[in-house]
Amino acid sequence: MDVLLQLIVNGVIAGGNYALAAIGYTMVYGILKFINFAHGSVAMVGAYAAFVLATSALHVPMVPAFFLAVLFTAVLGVLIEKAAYKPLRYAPKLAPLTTAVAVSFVLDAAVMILVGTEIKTYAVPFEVYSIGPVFITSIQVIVIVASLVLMVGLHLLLSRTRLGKAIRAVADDLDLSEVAGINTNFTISAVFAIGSALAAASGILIGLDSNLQPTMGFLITVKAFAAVVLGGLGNVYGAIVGGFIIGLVENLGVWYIPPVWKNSIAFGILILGLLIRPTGLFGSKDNTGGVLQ
Amino acid sequence: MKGKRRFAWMTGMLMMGLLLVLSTAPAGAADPYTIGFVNHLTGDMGPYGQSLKKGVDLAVDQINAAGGVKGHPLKVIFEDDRGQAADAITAFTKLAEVDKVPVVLGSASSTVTLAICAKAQESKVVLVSSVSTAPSLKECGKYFFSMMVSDDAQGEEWVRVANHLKVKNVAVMFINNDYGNGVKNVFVKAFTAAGGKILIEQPFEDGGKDFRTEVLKVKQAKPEAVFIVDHTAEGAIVIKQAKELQLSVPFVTDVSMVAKETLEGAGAAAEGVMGVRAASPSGPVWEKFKADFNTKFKTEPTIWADFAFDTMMMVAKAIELGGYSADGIQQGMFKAGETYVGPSGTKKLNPHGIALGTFEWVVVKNGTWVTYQK
Amino acid sequence: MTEIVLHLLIIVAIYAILSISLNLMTGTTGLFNLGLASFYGLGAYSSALLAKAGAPFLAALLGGIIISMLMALLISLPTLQLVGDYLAVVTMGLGEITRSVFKNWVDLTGGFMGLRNIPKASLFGYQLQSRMEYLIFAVVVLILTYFFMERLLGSPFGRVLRAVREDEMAAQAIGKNTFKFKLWSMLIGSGIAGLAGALFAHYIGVISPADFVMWLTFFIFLIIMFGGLGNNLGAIVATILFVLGREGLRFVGLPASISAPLQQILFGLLLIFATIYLPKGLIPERTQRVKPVGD
Repeated sequence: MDVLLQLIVNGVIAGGNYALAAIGYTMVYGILKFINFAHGSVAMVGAYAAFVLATSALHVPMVPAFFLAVLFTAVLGVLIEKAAYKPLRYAPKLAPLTTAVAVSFVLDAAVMILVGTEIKTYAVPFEVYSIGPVFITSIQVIVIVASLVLMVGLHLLLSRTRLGKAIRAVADDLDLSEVAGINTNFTISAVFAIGSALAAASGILIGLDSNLQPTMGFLITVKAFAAVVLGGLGNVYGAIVGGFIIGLVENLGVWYIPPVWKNSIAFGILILGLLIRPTGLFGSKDNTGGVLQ
Repeated sequence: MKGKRRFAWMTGMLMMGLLLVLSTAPAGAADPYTIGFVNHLTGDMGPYGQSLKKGVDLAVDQINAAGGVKGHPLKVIFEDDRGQAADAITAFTKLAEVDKVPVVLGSASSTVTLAICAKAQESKVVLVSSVSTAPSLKECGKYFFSMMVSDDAQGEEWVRVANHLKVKNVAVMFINNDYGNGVKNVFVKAFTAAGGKILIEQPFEDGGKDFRTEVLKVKQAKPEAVFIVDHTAEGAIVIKQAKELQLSVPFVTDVSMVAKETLEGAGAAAEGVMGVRAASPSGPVWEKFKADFNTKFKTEPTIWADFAFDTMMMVAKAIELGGYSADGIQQGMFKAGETYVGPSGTKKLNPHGIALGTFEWVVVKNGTWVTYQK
Repeated sequence: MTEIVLHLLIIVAIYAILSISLNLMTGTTGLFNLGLASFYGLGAYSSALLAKAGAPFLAALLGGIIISMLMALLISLPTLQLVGDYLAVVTMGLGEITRSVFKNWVDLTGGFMGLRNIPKASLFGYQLQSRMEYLIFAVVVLILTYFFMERLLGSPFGRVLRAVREDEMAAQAIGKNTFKFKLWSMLIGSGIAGLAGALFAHYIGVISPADFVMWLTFFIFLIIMFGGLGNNLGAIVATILFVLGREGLRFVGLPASISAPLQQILFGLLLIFATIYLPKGLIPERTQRVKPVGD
């Protein structure tokens, strides 16, 4: 029982990270209907931006470094969209997919040159708390709180603001929204800014919890991808639920089967889930997505 | 019209590609002695190759500052194998044929080294691996050398550590690859034979960042000590997460994990972790290497950099003793090994060209690896 | 110099076959198969194991093809009803899972260290010893694959596949059982990927899970994008450019510390540029103008 509780806590921590990364992914899909394979690499860049700010001569404290890095990554996300995806908005789906892969190559390699390939850590000291039989560190508390705050913030943005309304409209029908007078280019930029910011947050939180590597983006992409599809492509809340499910099942799963199959578990449940419910847990029947459905 | 333009484009690109391939500036048989280096410089395993490269760079600096080998400066050509056999063969063939090097410093991955080893025998180029340990490499041929101590020696050294710590019931955590399995198997066999008990053998996957469930499993088995083998990235996280989950028993690492990455990755949790290190019984060699490395790269020695440093030094010595040719180096390696002592220990070679090695015990104190006082 | 050129050309031939395979599934039929590397790997492992067990070379090759096709059948039956993007994730998952099996089924696959001493190719008792001989063999296989595929794509079957890609609904409306066509596309494509894998295994002699990573799938993806989706000649030309271009950068003599990542950046930028400014690839797919009525 004690072990089970601890496993659940561990699963929630992992799930929170996956969910954060998955949100940006699913929002981009909801709007532009393409799989943004560079998403994990963008998260990685965010994590390294915070690292550079915190450890270089600047010695920015961790909290402002976090926000500056998130801001930086948001801007980067918008620029990437303008350079690599916007010209391909009406091209076949494979085209933006290809440039996304290329963008991730470029980002990974750029970080390798600028910061180096070795593994880095933020070296933030942590404390261990025990709640009954369960152990949790101060960093993990931050991870959970931060991911919840960001998710609630996103919900408010989507449901309560004009921008949120515009995002939903564009996700529903890009051409029609344009006709209706919505500035679609601005809206898409906003989606990339928000998605990249959340990716950066997840990258930094993963880095805080473990370490940083220029190639860490790929696994983030893969796990977030799984979470997004499980939740239903284009559905923000589905992605969050999908992230938590994958985090939990992975952690509980390796208790019973050898952990060498850990990455297979994520895909195992994903494949199984799709067979039972081909559009994902919260996907709409026609697979058009829609951020709020 | 359009088709024509496209065709022009295409031929243009094709020409460019061919030009790139053919524009091989001949390395020139001028003054420097060129030496090849094949390793993963990019990709998931990139950090290991980069770390090995640092060790080689440092050795080359020192050799050239001292006037080179027989008056010839050394020049190393670095090639990336991306961790893949096909790319490694491309890289190796390029070094052997185009750059015409008589000796290549080999890859960190045993699988890649195995793939190019046959090629090395065929083209009569000496292949010296810094850290590949797979038993199958022994049969590869006379042009192969390894500077890493064998899995057998490491596993047996662990048994001595366990006896010293007076622990009878232990856990082993190992990276799920040939190296991790190799060291684990030797240790399990030797320790059980010596009357000890292995409570749990817990593998973990490379590239992961969350090993809490694995740690919990080990904790549940209630071991008196945990023996862990990895090449730092995952192992450091395991040590950190073990601390978080209050698995408070002694941790003992393998040779590879005695590196800066473990200290950084595990942070404060690394304090008190023990390790075995391939070393000469005398300390100053290591201390000097550590200081030199720090001066050049502004960090503590990274993983396997000491082995790479020794590999380069051994090869330089072998050239000095046997001459700048594959057969000369092949002979020279054995002679050089008789007397060489470097930061990763003595390099007396067995008949297969594999270093025998001796060990030293170390422990993390105040954030750095220091000699363990028995 | 000659050996390295021969080696690179053999790799080009093998990757070109792999590109043709993906071009059928993704380029022509529009099925996002991100598990290409695992079909390639299955072919390599199966053929290597069969040959090590004593099967003649050609039989082992055939075995590799069949095992890849069986795996394709196994995953296609439940997943082909899924919409394109979902198929992508399922095949990507399959790729991870197969690699885990290669890595962990130690008794059969040799685990992380993989298989070694894979028998060399021999045809009717004649052993292909030199690289030159193997290159000729690989190129012959490539040419056969190419013409087989051209025949296939020129047939009514090929037209239906393109119709499925353009508008599956419409293809169904005119009475085509699109599921059956997609299934055949996956089976044939995977079989050819398996063939490429088998050729790789017998050439290289040592295989391990590290040789069948996701990166390879992306690499081939980029090749067919660049060469022109659905056009096999373009795929072959692009394979030549990519493999030689990538390896050619080794000879430019960049400073060692950054040359590898710099290659990766150049490669990425070139690709972004090409995708935007060469949207149909080097050689666009030849589409027959079909009159609105008739056919």
